[in-house]
Amino acid sequence: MMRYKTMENRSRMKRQVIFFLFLVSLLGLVSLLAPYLITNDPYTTNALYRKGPPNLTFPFGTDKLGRCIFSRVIMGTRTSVFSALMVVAVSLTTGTAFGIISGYYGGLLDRVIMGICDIFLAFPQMVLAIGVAGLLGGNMTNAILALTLTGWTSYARLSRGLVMTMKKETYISAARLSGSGNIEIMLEHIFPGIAGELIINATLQISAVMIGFAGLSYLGIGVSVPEAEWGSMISEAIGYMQQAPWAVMAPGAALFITVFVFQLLGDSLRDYFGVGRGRYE
Amino acid sequence: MKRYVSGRLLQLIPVLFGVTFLTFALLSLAPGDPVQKKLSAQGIAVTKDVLLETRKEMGLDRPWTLRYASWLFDLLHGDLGDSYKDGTPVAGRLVKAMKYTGILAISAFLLALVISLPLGIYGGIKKAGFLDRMIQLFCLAGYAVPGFLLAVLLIYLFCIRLKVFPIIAKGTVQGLFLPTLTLALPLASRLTRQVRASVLNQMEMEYVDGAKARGVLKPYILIFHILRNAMISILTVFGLSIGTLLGGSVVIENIFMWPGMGKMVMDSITARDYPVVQGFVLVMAVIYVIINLIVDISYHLLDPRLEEI
Amino acid sequence: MSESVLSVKDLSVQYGSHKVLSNLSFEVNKGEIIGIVGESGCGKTTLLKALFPKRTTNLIISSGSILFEDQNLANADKKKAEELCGRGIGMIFQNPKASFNPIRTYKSQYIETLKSHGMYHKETFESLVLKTFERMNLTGGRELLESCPYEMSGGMNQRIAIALSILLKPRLLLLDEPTSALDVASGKLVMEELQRIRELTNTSIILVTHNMGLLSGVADKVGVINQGSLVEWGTVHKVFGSPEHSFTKTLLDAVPKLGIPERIEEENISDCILKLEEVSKEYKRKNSPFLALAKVGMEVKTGEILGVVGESGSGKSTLLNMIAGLCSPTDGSVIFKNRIMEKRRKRDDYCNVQMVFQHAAESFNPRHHIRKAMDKTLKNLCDLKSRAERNERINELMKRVDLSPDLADRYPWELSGGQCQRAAIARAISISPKLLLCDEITSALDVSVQKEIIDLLKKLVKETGMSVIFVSHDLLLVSSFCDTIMVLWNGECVEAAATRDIIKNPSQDYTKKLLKTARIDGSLYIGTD
Repeated sequence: MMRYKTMENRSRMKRQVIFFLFLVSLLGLVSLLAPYLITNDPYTTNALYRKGPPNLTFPFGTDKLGRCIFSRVIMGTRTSVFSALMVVAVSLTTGTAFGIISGYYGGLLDRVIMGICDIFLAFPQMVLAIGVAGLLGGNMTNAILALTLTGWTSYARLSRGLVMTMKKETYISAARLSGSGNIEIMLEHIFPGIAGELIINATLQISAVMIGFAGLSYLGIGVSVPEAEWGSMISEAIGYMQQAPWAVMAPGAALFITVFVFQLLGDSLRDYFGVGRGRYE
Repeated sequence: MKRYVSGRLLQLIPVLFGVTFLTFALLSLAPGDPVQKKLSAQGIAVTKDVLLETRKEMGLDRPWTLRYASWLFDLLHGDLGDSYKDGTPVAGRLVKAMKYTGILAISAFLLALVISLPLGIYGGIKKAGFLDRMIQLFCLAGYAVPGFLLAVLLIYLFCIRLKVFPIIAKGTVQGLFLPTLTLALPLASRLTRQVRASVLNQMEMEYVDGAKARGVLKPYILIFHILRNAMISILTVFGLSIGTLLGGSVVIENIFMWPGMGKMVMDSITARDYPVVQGFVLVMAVIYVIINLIVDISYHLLDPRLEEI
Repeated sequence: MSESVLSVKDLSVQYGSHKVLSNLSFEVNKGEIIGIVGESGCGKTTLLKALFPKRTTNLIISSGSILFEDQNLANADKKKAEELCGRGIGMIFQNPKASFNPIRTYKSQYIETLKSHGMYHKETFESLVLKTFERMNLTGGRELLESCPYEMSGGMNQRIAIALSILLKPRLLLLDEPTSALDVASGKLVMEELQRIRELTNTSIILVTHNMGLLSGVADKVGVINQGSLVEWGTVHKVFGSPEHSFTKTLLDAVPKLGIPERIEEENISDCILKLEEVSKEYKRKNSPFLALAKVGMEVKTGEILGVVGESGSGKSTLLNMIAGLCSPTDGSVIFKNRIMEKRRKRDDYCNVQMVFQHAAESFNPRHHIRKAMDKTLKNLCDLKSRAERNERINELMKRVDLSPDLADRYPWELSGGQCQRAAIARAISISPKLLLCDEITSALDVSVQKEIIDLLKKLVKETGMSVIFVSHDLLLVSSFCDTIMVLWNGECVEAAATRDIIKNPSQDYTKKLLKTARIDGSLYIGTD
C-alpha cells in the first residue's frame, strides 16, 4: 500500500535532515572557533590597503578602513548565530508557557493572555522592534530584547491552538480517569505532544530572526559600530559599493547562506515529522 | 454581519488603548531628551534654563501618565498633536506619508500576486517536474534573502551596473520600481509556497476523486473545485503577509529614501519627535486590525461552512 | 437477466510488491445486485478500486482480465478507459464527504457533471433532476438542489450522490461501504434506492459491505472474500442459508442475534450502586444553549449490565462522561453508593468508576507504550509502590484479557483494533472498579472481533461482579447480553426496562421503530419474519 512509497520517502527525508543538521553544526562550530579561524585581527585598520580587492592575505579584500573583511565575516557568524539562538530560546520558552496555560485553563486567564497577544500583534513586528531598539539605544542586548518582545506572541498562539486541540484527545480523558492531575497531564502528555511542532517552528524562526537582527544592524540600531556584524557591514559598505563591491557581497553572501541553511533545516524537519499547517508547505 | 463588524471594531478599542499606552511608556522611559535634540537641531546653545523653559513650553514637565491622558483627550477630538521638530500637525504629515506608503504597499502586493498565483498553481499541478523544482528553489531563496540585502543587490544591478534607475526614489514613478520589486519578491516567494501547498492539499481531497469518478472534465475540477477551495487557506497567508509588508516597508523606504511612513518614523525616532511616532503607531495598529477584519469577512464569504456573521 | 456485463477472470492485484488479491473469478449479469462481504483488510475495497477504470498509480493488476462489455479494463488504454467513468461505470465512495465539494451547491456540481458528459440541457435540467429526486423519495426538491453538501447529513449526501449517478445511467455501479457511515435507518433507505435503480435502469450493482444483514435484503448473489481470495460465491440463499466455507460460517455466527440473554436480572442482589436524579447537561453555544441531556434518571444495580441505546446525538456519550466525572451536570445529581458525587472527583471516585472508550487506540497516548499507561493508573490509584510489583500486575491483567504480556511493550498503534480494546479494558479493570462504563467499545471493530470483546466482557462481569453500563447504537447487540435496556432520544430517556420487556412489548413508538429497523438488520438470522 502507500506505506512502501512513504518508507522510501522517509529515509530520503531523514538523510536530508541529517545533512542540514551537519551544515548547521558546521556553522555553530565556525562561530565557536571564530577567533582561531580568522587570518587577521578584524578590528585592526590598515591605512595602506583600503578598499583593497581580495588577495592572499585578505581573502575577501578590505573595507574603507583597511580591515580584513574575511575575518570580520567570520567573527560576524558569532554575533548572528548567538543572537538568533538567544532570541528564539527566550521567546520560545515564554511564549510556550503562556500558550499552554492559556489553552489548558481557558476562561478569563486565556482572554487576558490573548488580549496582550493582540496588542503585540497589532504592532507590525518590525515596527515594534525598530521602536524598542531605536528608543532604548542601539546595542546587542536591546536588539535581542526588541526581537524577543515581538517573537513570543507567535509561540503563544501556536501552542495555545495545539493545546486546545489536544485537550479534546481521548487519551487526555483516559489520563484523567487514571488519576493524573492537571500539572501531570500538562507535563507528561501535552508538552511532549506539542514540543515537536514548536521546535520545528523555532528552527524556521531562527532564519527570520537573523534577517530581523541584520536589518536592525543595517539601520544602525543593532550592534554598536566597530563590532563585526553582517548587517552593519553591509550598511557601511553600501556607500562605496561602486569601488569595492566585495565589501557588500561577502557579508551579504554569508548572511544569505546562514539564513538559507537554517531555513532548509526547518523545512526538512517539518517534512520529516509531517506536522505543520499543510503537508506540502 | 453588521453586528459582527461593529463587534470587531469595538474589540479594537482595548487593543488601541494598549498599543498607545505601551508606546507612550516606551517613549517616556527611553533615554535621550527630545528637548535637547530639538534645541541642538535648531542650533541653540543648550543651557539648563533654556532646557527647563522649553520643556515647560512643550508641556513635557508633566508626568507621562498625565500627558498620555491629555493626548487621549485630544485624540477624541481628532487632534494627534503637533510635531516637536517643526510644529506642524502630525495628522497632516501622516496622511501625506500614508499616501506614499499605500502606493508602495499596494503595488508590491499586486506584483507579488501576479508572480505567485501562476507559479504556485503550476507548481501544484505539475508537482516534482523540472519547472516546479525551479519554482521551489526560487521560493526558498526568496525566503532567505533579507529585504535590505535584496535592495542593495538590486541597486547594484540596476543603478550602478545598468544605470536604468535613480538610486534615490524620492516618490517619483520611476523611483517606485525598485522598492516595489524589493518588497514584492520575498512576499511572492511566500505566497507561491502557500498557493502551491493549498493546491496540492486540495488535489488530494476525497471530493476531487469523487468528481473524477463522475467523469467531470479536468478544467472544471481545477477551477471550481481545487482553486475555489484552495483560496480559503491562501487568504490566511495574504492576511498574515500584510503585517510583514508593513514592517518590511519601513526598512525599504529608508534605503530608497521613499517618503512614506517608514521613512518618517525612522527620522522621527532619531530626532525624538515623539508625537509623530505615537501617531504612526496608532495608524499602523488601526490599519493592521482593519485589514485583518477584511480578511476575516472574506473568509466567511468564501467558506459558507463558517457560522453566519 | 443472463446477459453478462462484467466478467472477471483470475484477477490478482497488488499494491507495489504487496499482494492483496489473488485469482478472483466471477461474473456479473445485467441488472444483478452483487454483494461482496469480508472483514476489514481482506481486500474487498481493493477489488472495487481495481474494477474502476480510473486507478491509483500504485495499484497494479499483476494477472487476469476484467472484461467490461467488450473492453478488457486490466490492460486498456488509460485515456480510453477513463472515458467510461461516470456513464459506463459509476462509483460511490464509503465516505459520504468524498462525493461532493462541501462548499458548492449540489446544483452547480450536478450541472458540471452533466456538462462534462454533454448531457446538460438548460430547459429540461431542473425538471429532470426534480423528477429523479421524487422517484428516490428525496424530499425538498428545488431547495435541496440549492443547498450545499456541508449542510446535509452523511446519509442525505450519499443519497444525492446516488441520484446523480442515476442521472448518468451507468451500466455498472460500484458502491464501497455506502452505509457504514450512516445510521441504520438511512442505510435502509439507501438499500431501497439501489433496488429502485435496478428496476428503473437495469443497472448492475456491486456492493461492498461488512453489514450482512442489510445485504441479505437486496443482493441477488454474494461473494465472500477472506485474505485476498474469494472463498464463497453464490446466491444469497445459498451463501447465507447453507454456507460451505468455514470462514463464512464464523462470520455469520458472530453477527449478534435479537434475543433475550439467559441471565435474568432478578437473580442478582438488588442493591443500587449508581443512581442519577434528574440529571441535565446544557452546553453553551453562541446563539442558543444546547441541551444534551434533559432530566435523565437511572439506576444501576450491583452486577447488572445496563445497555443504553440511542442514535448519534442522543446524549449517550455525555451521559457516560458525566458518570465518569469528565464533565459535570448543569442540574441534578449523580449518586454513587448513596454519596453525591462532587464536581471535583477524588482518588477513590476514580477507583470506583472506570471507562473504556470507543476508539481504543486514541485512548492511549501514541507516544507511550501500553505498559506506561497502565503503570500510571496502578501508580496513581493503587498502592503498589514498587515497579516490579506493578509490572507483574500488568502481565497478570494482560493475561486476564487474553493478551500476551509482551504486547504491553508496544505502542497502541502497533496493535490491532481488537487487541487495543482488550488492553483498554485491562487498564480499566486494573483497579477493580465497581462500575465499568463502555462507550461504543465495539462499533469500530469487525463483527467477529466484536463477539470476542463482548464474550470477554461477560466473563469479566461474572468473575468480578462489577456493574457495566454499555452504550451503543446497536439495539441488536445490546439486547444480546444486557440485563436492562434504556433507550435515549434527543437527550431524553424514552424507555427503560428489562431487556425481555423491551423486546417483547415496547411501550414507546420510538422503541418500536428502533426495534423494527433492528429486525430488518438481523432478519437473516432470526428466521424469515
